[in-house]
Amino acid sequence: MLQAIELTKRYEDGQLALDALNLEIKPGEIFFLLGANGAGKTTTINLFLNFIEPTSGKAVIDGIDVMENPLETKNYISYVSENVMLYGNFTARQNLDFFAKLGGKSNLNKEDYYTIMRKVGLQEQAFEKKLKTFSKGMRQKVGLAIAIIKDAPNILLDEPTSGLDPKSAAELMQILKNLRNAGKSILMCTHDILRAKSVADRVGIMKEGRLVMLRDREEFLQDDLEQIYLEYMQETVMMP
Amino acid sequence: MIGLIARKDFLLNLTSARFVIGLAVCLLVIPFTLLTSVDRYKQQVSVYKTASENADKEYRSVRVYSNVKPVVVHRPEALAVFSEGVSRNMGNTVRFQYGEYPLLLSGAAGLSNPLLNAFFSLDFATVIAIVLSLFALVFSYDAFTRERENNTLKMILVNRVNRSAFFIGKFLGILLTLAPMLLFCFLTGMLFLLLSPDIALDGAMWTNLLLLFLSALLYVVVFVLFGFFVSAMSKRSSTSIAVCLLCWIWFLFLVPNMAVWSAKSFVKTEQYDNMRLAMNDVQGPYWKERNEKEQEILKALDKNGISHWDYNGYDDGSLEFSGGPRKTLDYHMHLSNWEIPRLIDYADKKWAVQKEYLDGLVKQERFQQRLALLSPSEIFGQLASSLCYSDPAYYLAWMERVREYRQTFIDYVRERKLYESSAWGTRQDPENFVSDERYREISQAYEEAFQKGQEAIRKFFESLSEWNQDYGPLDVTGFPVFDYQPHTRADAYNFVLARLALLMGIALVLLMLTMLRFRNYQL
Repeated sequence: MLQAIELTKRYEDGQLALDALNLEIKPGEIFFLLGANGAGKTTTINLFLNFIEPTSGKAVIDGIDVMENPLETKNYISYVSENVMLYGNFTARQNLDFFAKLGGKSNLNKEDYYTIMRKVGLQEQAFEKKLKTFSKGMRQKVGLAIAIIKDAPNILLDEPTSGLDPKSAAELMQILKNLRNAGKSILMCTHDILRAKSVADRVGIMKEGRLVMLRDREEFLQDDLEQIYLEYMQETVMMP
Repeated sequence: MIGLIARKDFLLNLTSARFVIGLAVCLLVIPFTLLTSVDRYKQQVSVYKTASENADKEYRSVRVYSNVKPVVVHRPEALAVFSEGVSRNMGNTVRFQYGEYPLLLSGAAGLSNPLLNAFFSLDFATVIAIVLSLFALVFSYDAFTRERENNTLKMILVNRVNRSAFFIGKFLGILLTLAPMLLFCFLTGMLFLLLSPDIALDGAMWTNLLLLFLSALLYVVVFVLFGFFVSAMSKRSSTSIAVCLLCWIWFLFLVPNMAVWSAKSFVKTEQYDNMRLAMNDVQGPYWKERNEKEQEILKALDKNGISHWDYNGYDDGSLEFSGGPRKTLDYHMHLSNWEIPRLIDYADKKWAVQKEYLDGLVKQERFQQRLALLSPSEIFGQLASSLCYSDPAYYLAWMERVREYRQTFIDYVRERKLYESSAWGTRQDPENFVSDERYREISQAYEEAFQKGQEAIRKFFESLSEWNQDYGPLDVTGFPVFDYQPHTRADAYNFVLARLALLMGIALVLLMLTMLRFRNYQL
């Protein structure tokens, strides 16, 4: 479970990136955090990952305060970045092997890696190919495989569909659904409202560091999510 | 975790184009450099052997004490194959003189300051300094920036890996990558040594070679950490590589030239010719005194001049004669007895001028050396030349020992009062020197024989066999012999340790600064 309690981040230049965020993502839930660039989505993820320190408040992962036990919380969290590059001179399996071992999975064999790669929809002939020959979609799948192989109860995704073709994005959403069904808490930051509508259990819209809207699935399916989102965005654009 | 990250970086680097290029450069440049250096060393040894043989032959063929003047030949150092230092600036012989201290090896005076390492020589240590520093930077400039750009840094740190572990793992991975290059360079060097019959290394030299390897390793560490530091200060790899390359040019090429230029500009030295003129000024009164002494001796002997049957002599107390009246022998014995101690005294006076000149050269060299400490490459270069017996301090110590040897030699001559004996200038029995009347008769007989022709001249010389006798070479076995083992100089080890400590200090400062910076490195 992921919890943000009055989570606030003000950068050294005085910019308030996150303003007292309160959020809870339960096991078996996909939460989509929407918002314009600079709204505070990536800051939220960075705070959960302890990449930056909060100014006040706290991020809690499965009941453990990230600030107090940063290394301990890393056992319970996986992450997929926006643009997965990985190591071009390693094959897909070698990349998976390296990150699996970093995640504490040291007893996996080649077949285990192949199974995971099949699961994320990577073509068989790509398993032993160097990653520098991969398309963005294929690399993104390897990134997802890395997140899955760790088998952490919480998964954070930072705009993973950015730059993906519709088919790859759809495959990714299917994988997320499967992970939710396996009981994972999933926080995905994105601009992609269409995907949010298709798989999210709850949706939040962030603006200038604040969570300005929160809807569960039934609510946002009834409302016009695109319209709501655009209204918030227009307000942002119109701001002086 | 550290091992895992180190292994990852090692494997990635091993399969990278930069590693292949780096290894290829080492494969091409190192053997070629060593081949050239070994060839040059063989030529030096050949020149040394010839010079030694000639010097020995000359030394052992002298017939009188005044000509017992050893020539000390400097044996080329085998380790200079690895670092030439200032060895190219130096000559290889020092000739003993009563009237002058030896200053530097012959041939060294041709340069304004032979102690300055002002010329670029592509030896093993220089190649190591250039190639390995470049590749250390090429492997480390993007240590953090590339991982940041590829988002892999976040993907690593999302696991139970703290930043220190990542840093150390990364550092070890790069060091492991560079180790084969470094090892290849040194193993090739050792192979060249072992396969060259002309090169024989003693225990101290092997120790120095090991120290050179450790110094090179430390040098590589400094550049890896420098690359890390620049990477930790940069957001983009393109910025980092630009900064690293600029700094590399600064360290490798600008600092050495700037140090030489500054030393020559700010620390002025006396010109060699001016020093010689000043020495002549000091020597001036000697010639006056000698002239007076000569007249005094002639007056005491009631002579206006002296005659010899055979005579050779020159300024530094050397003379060899045979035949003549007894007063000629007395004249030379009196003059040598006066002359040699005076020459030694005047050498002491002239040494003050020489010392001032030498101190100027040393001061200029030390200034250059200290300024060059701004570059780790120069620190490594100084370390290498010191370990390979080719640095200025080595040559200064060697010359100091030659001067000590000169003193030992003079003491030997003084204690035995050799310049008071007739054998100083002639091997002829003093009894065979004749009275003035008899000498006039002999001269007259020679004139007559000369008028009569060849047969008469032959008979005349037969009658004077004691004057023309070949006494053969003098036995010089008891004279002090120059021997010097420069390989156990305490000052050299102190110098090396100080440079190693400096490199270590730079590495530690870079390590701390980089770790501090990387703790807050923006992902």
